[in-house]
Amino acid sequence: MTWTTHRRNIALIGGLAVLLAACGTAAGSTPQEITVNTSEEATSGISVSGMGEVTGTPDTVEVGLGVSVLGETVDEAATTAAEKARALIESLTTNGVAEEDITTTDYSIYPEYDYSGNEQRLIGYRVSNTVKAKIRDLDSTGAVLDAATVAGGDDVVVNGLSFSIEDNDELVAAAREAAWNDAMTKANQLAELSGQTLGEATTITETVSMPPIPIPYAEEAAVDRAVETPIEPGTSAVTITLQVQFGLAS
Amino acid sequence: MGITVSGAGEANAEPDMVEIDVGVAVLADTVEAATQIATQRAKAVTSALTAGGVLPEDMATTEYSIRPEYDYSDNKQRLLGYRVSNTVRAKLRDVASTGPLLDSIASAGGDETRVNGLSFGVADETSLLARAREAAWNDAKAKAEQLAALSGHTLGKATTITETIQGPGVPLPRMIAADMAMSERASTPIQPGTSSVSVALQVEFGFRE
Repeated sequence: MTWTTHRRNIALIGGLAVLLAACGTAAGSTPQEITVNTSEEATSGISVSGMGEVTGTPDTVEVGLGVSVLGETVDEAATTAAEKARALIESLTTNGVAEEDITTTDYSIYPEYDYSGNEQRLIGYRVSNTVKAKIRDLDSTGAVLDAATVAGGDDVVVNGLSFSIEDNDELVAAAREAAWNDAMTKANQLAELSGQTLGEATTITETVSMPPIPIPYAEEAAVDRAVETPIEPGTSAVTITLQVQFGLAS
Repeated sequence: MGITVSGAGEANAEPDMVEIDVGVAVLADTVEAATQIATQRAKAVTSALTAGGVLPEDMATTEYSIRPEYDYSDNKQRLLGYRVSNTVRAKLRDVASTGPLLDSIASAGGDETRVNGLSFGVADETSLLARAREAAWNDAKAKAEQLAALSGHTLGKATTITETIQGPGVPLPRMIAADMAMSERASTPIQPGTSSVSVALQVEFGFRE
């Protein structure tokens, strides 16, 4: 392989990476224009990717919870569900959840059947009223869940929770800088190995900018009811990937 | 030559409508009987919707079906009867009366009432999308500025801008405290929250020499 074709291959791989990155960003969306740099300066240089990851502590937790009431008639179930849902929402606000952070996500009425025994038997009607509540004081999460459970009694349903970082601008910027430093280190090493001096960056493409992925972990569930439900926020990670094309200093 | 970044923007507004999937499902011995009862119940539900503030043009039938229903227990297929379902999607523009409307629907349709869910939204998203687009642009610009600074360049003009995604975002909660009027029967509490739309851009910037 001659040096010329070798350099072309590097450029090709670089272009492909940009293409893949663009496709990744647009996954599940409408097709977009993809620009691959084919100018002369892009065919000479070093192309690397850099990755930066920064971990932060979540500052909010979103809980999906509600009531699910079975009654003999729709009217009975709906009435009980309304009372229970009201008590549940009140317990949330009493325990520090702001009213603007509580939103209804589902309301449904369905019949419920028992399929055991010899025939399908109508058990009653189920009315579900589900909300999403954002808790901004993470330390109160256990207490909020416990109070909601008491308020809803056996009709309470908790569908899970997820932690996130509401304000992650600084984290993302730090991850971007780490990704740049990573790319620079790689490129410098490659320039040195090939006996050349690294030039300026000619093309920089931020390929992946993932939202924080919560990595929650929970402690052993409390058996003693007097003990508050333990909730551990864990950490959330922000990852940035850059594709950088450097020129070579002559 | 340049910097390519993506930008994401989100804009929020108080919802000004709620869409409710509601209907009736009736089981009877004959198709004719099921159809007759379903028609009565559906009319009652429709009347409740109208009385509750839903405009006739904001009501659309989304499903109508007639099917036999069987019981498969005891190793046998046994005909239970015929099920007629009639479902509408109703758009209510006074979101504060959602709770009372759901209650009147349940009363009107009785045990044949079915509610399949609801979703809050903004009827005209144009200005909301414009705000989300501006936020996405600012996001892309900030990213590119940082990368230009890190690489020792001065950011030039955008050379290619592609809007990649546009659509409803993650709804942010916000309550409209209007369903607190208590009657002797506690009305269903509904929290409309906040509607959100998002825009994503792919922007390519040049360098300034």
